Amino acid sequence: MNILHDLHELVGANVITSETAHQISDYYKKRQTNSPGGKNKQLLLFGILGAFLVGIGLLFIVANKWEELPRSVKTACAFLLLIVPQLLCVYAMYKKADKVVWLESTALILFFAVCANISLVSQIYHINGDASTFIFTWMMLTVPLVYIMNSSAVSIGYLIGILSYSFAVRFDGNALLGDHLTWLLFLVPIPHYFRLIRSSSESPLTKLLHWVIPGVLTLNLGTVVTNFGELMPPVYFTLFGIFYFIGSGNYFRNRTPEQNGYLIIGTFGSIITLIVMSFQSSWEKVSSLPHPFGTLSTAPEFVAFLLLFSLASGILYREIRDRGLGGLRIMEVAWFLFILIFVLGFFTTAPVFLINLAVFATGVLMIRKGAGENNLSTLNSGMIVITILLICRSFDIDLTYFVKGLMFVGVGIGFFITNWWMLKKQRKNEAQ
Amino acid sequence: MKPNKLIFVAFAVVAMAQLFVPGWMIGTMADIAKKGNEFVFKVRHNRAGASLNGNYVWLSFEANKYKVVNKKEWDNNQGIFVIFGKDSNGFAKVEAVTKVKPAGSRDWVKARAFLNNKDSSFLRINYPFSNYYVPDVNTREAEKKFNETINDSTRSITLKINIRENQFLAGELMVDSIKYSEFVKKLGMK
Repeated sequence: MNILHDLHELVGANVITSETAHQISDYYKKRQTNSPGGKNKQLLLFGILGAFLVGIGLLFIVANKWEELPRSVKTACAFLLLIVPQLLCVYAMYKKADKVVWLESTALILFFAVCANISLVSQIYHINGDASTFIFTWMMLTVPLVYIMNSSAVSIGYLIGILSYSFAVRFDGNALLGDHLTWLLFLVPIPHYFRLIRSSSESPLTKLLHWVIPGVLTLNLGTVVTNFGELMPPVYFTLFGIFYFIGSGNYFRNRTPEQNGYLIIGTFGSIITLIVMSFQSSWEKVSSLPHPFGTLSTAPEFVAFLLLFSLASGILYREIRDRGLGGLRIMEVAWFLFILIFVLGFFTTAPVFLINLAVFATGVLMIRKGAGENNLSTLNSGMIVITILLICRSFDIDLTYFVKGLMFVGVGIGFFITNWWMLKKQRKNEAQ
Repeated sequence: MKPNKLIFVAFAVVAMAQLFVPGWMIGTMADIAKKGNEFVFKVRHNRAGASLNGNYVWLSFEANKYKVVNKKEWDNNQGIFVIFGKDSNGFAKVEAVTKVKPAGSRDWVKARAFLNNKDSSFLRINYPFSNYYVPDVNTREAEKKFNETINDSTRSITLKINIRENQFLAGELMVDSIKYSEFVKKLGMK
């Protein structure tokens, strides 16, 4: 804590009394002990890293040279591998109940131990099964630890596990809950997540969950694709719109971008979707294939779209009611505009031009925002968006190499000038 | 701070479930070994060469195809139910393939069907027991010998599998009627 170093100087200069200096020092020491930041944060991170390594080590035992052992000894080892972490959890819950590091680490070890135990038993007894059943069993046996041991690390492992389960179901078709009911499994750790937001918003695991949740939902959206994959861009865009709403809401407003996975995934997901749709080829199936409403209305892609559209519309309605139409930012309505442009794509080829325009406008707006807020990252992100657009167009527009070269030189010079101008502006502000 | 009793009871229930599931898996296997019907699958010598992936090998069996009347009724990677019988030599053969769970037989497993590229009137079947764990191949020399053996068309390689209503227990791989582990010992590989 830097302020603690300055206390002597402040006391010496008679700015504060030595008693006040003690009070300040005590306050920060107390805060450091109680908060999940500082030393506790390091302990938590290294504790979890240690537990992770131990967990991985347990999994590697599966591949170890132990063929010489009789089957009964192997089985005993497999169960011992599970019982020891269980006892460690009991110890942590009984003796270290107020130590987050202990609870998180032991819960994570048990999480991996369950996997190792099932793998070993399967190996010892030549039990072959499909990946989806294995992952489902593993997740169901470990998810209660999220609530019993209040473990965020297990909740992250569970979310990634359920994502793997969802992909495995797509591959081997053995859905235990019905294909799309897998989505409900993602809800299991959500009450824990809300509790974290209320009680431990500064914990590194809470911050990690702000990335993991939008990340797994985005990736899992790919599993709804069946016959109408060409209709997925508005589904993704609407999801990114919802993430943007969440990321720009009250809770995340004063957080740094590293802590705001929703805003970053929402923003960059939207831009990536726009860039993908800026290609003529992305629209060919949309405009050429028939999309009969009868078939479409029951397609998972369409159902996913309707659900996300309803949710995004609800949030947009609330925002308009609270702030008025004028108070909305462009990104908050971008998903709606994209849907309009996409519908237009069924009838004309105009959307290709409109999307290119939208990508260009996004880049310009980001540069403008970066310049206004003195933020080099935002400004350069805008420049990168325009550069990517330029690279994409240089592939599918028939221009001479000379013209293409001039375009790249122009953007390159733009990078130099804007960065030089920004640095100059920052120096000028610092001097004042 | 001590957690309340309810938390401990909940943890005890979860811990018991964590122990019960692998225990139940072992119990089921013992049950299949006792009550399931035993089928001997002939391993097909793959010209492309079967090879180990770690300690696992993907076994291709002689009984892995089924002639269909109308190929249009079947999709690639379709989930199917395969009912087994025995041929005149006592080896496993595919008795029937259905899209619905068989009612009249207990000798079946769920598998995946693929349309045969060379002859589309045949379905090629991927069994859940195709990925086989081979315990005795921890050295490069043993691995090389295993790969040679599995692809040697002069040797008869078989795998016994006990089957009962989609549950199965794979036995030991047999090379020329002796257990692979003994075959390895005979060669002085271990």
